[in-house]
Amino acid sequence: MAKVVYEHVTKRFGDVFAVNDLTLEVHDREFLVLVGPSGCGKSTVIRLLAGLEGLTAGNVYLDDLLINDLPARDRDIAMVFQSYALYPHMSVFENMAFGLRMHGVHKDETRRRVTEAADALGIGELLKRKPAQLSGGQRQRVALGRAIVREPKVFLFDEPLSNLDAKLRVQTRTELSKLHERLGTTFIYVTHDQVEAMTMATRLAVMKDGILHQVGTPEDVYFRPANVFVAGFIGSPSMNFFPGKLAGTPDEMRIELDGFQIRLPVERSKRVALFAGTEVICGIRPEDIHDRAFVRLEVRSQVIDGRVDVTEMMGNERFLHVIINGQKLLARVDPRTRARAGQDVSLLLDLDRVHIFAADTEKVLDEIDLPELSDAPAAAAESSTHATN
Amino acid sequence: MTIRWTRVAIYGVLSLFALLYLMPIYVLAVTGLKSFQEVRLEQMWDLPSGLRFDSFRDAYRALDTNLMNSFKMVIPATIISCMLGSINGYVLTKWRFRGSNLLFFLLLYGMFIPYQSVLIPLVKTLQQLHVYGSLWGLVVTHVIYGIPITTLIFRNYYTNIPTELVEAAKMDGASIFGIYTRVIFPLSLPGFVVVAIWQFTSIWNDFLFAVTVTSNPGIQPATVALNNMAGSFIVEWNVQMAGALIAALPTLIVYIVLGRFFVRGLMAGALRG
Amino acid sequence: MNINGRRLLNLVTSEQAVAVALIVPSVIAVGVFVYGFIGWSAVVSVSRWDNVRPDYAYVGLDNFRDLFNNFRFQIDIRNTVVFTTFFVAACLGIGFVLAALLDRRVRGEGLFRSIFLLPMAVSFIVTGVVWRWLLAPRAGVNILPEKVGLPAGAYGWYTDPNVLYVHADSRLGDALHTIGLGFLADPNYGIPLAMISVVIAATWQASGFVMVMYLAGLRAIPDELRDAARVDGASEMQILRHVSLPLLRPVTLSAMIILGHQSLKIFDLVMSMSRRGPGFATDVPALFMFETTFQGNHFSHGAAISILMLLAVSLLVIPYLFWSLRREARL
Repeated sequence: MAKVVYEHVTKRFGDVFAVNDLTLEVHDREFLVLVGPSGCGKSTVIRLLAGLEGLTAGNVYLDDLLINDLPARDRDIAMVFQSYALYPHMSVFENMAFGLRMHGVHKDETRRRVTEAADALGIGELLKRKPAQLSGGQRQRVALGRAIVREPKVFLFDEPLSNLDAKLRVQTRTELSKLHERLGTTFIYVTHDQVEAMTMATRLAVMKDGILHQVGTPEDVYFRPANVFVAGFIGSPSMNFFPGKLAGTPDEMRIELDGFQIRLPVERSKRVALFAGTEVICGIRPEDIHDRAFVRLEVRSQVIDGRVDVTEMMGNERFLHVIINGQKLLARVDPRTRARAGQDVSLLLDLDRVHIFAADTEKVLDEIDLPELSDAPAAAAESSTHATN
Repeated sequence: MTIRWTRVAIYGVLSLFALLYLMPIYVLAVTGLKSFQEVRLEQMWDLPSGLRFDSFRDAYRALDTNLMNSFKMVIPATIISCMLGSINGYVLTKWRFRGSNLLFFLLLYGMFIPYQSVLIPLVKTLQQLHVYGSLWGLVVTHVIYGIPITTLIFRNYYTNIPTELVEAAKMDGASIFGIYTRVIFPLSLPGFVVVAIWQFTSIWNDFLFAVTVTSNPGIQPATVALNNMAGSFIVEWNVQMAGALIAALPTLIVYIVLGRFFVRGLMAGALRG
Repeated sequence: MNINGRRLLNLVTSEQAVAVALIVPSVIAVGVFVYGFIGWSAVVSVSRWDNVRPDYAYVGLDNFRDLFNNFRFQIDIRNTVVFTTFFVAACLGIGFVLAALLDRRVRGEGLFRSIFLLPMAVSFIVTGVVWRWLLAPRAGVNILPEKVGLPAGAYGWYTDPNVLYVHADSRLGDALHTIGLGFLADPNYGIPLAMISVVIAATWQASGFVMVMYLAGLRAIPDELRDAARVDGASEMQILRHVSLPLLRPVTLSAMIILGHQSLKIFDLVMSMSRRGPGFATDVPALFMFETTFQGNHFSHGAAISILMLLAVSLLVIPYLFWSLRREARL
């Protein structure tokens, strides 16, 4: 059992709160990814667990044991560092054996574990070499191997892929996922790359400025972002945002934006009716905006027209950078679209995928339904209303 | 906040060592401030009964020409030494030619030789150049024997200046001198600080060359004068200590004021190997 | 090659020529004042120049033979070995300990650093004078215990004529004899206790520098490496031993060379502190050479001593320079 609990954990460096009142439970065996922009405190969070930093406030539990004051070497945790931190004067074997030596593991047992792990990672031939003689990918495996032989309760990863080239990164991602399945140990992984986070995590924890904004599965975080930050951070290219105001009657609520309106479907109207008059931020992902000429019929949508500024051909889709009444918008549309720079285009917004956030708190006001659970009727056409230009 | 005993131990050991290291300076200062009567071996550690600056006055009177001599010699020597080192370092790093590494090796070796082995020919050569016995003779000596170490420091420092800067300047049409004045020299300040402090200290504190090259007590630098004072019959300890302190004052001040730049330069690798 | 190409080629070669020309004065100066003079000393060392009038007649290695048979010179060799060993060991040890302590995020690090570095500012002459007083038998350190009510120390420090050596009739002496090294049980191979005082003074002066070198070296070790070791289970002491120290080997080597070559040439300090000491206990080759040449006018013997000193230093320094420059070329 390797459950980790952070309870109102705070870490302060001078005047700066690197981690601010964090409460988070990491389940046994899960692959939790801490993701957020640089400086959001995610590295500090795992360093606190590793025992490399002391807590300013709060408690950290490992398997229900309070470990606040336990020194790093007694915590039974292994860590893979961003630049691998291999001991340059030791051979690959000695690097991997170091932790076991420090814990007093017998020589034969050490040798067994190291050779086994090295073979599994494909570096069995390199045991006598020094880190300087290895490639980046090989060094990363040694760093992994060093952690694996420790057979710890928890594995910590501090942006281990950021020093690899793009191709190696993709390859290693899948290997890490497979490794997690094979070992069955709890993984806590830190990265600023949300693609890594989404592809590898069983759950993500999104952080900014020391504060945890949302924890959930990749689907939770992608389809039901808790606030504007999470919505904009997860997903690439990122979500489009427009400021507006809720208005209308309980059956026909609309969002009044600068120059156009979005009329909400009945179920949603009823849900947001009590927020009439509130300033909101409305968000919609580029892939939920379609070229009117190429949209599936079962989408409940609303038409808006605009002028194309730039297009980018991606192969499987085309990005349209569109300007609507002075506001910019990005749409990912069918590659067969006829829209080109300088021309007008008619777009359809998927009304079931419009996110509504309160403007003052930036928290979500009305969640959308996840795709599989959506009630949208199959063949019902658009409750289309032409946008006023 | 709990008392971490390791922290206490660390501060304790450091403070103990600090006291040990300051001990000699304390004795120097305290003795220098005493009157002649007070200076007794048995009372070495006692604080002076009152601040008497007589010893300093006497020491200064005895040493003042010598102190002047030291300044007159050290300042030109340091400046020339720095310039030479900088130019050499520049040439050796940014304008490599065949054999420049061998040349550097040969230059560097000069830093390690025991100066005793060159004293006699040095004297004769300086006599031929008509600078023997004068301060200029000392300046020449120190400049030349300073070439290895100043070249070493600047060379190490300049290897950290990316060659792209020099190449960009070349493409802009700068000559070898232009590159130096426009690119290298402006970036050299930390290097100059380290070299200047090092040379100032070494030359000011030098005894061997000073006692060999100058023989007239009126010309000799402070180090020699101090040693003569120490060897004289009437042992006026208080004057001697005051003299030692005065003679050490310029370099002490340099270290106290500029010390952190020196350390920064050292830590930046100015004196690796 | 067209006109422009040729002009470019001229520019390149002429600039290179200027570069060489800039460094030529230094090369000539060092060539004469270092290599030329050493050559001259070598010539004198095999000559007969024994009084004020020069005499360059060749006498082969006679002067060197005389030196090795000279009692004082033999003691000098012993003293140099003893001094170098203890001085280098003490500086490395103390310098490292101070650096390791200061590396622990200590408040007032700057102040401590300045205090330890201050002795470097002072000349060896001043150091000698002060420590002569501090370690004087009836004063200084010896009377310090009286301040706290303890009896005064009675140690002779640099006036101590005793030599610590293996006695031929001791157990260790017998052991040495059985393996054919019986000749080592002799004062000539012992430790002159008076030298310890000189070691103390010299270490006071030079350890600050070693400290700074180690501090720079420690700071150059990436923090991640130490973090990794901590997570791997090492205590701070283990980190020092298994991670920091091995990575500091280049620093240790550089420090050893710098200290070593200074200790072989040591002169100023001994001159002002203890001179030759009781029974030559603190005599050093440089002192011997100085007296021989400038007071005894035995120029050829003086030159021979200096050549021997040069050889000793070269043995130390040349391999190091080779290793250092080759390592740079490889990087």
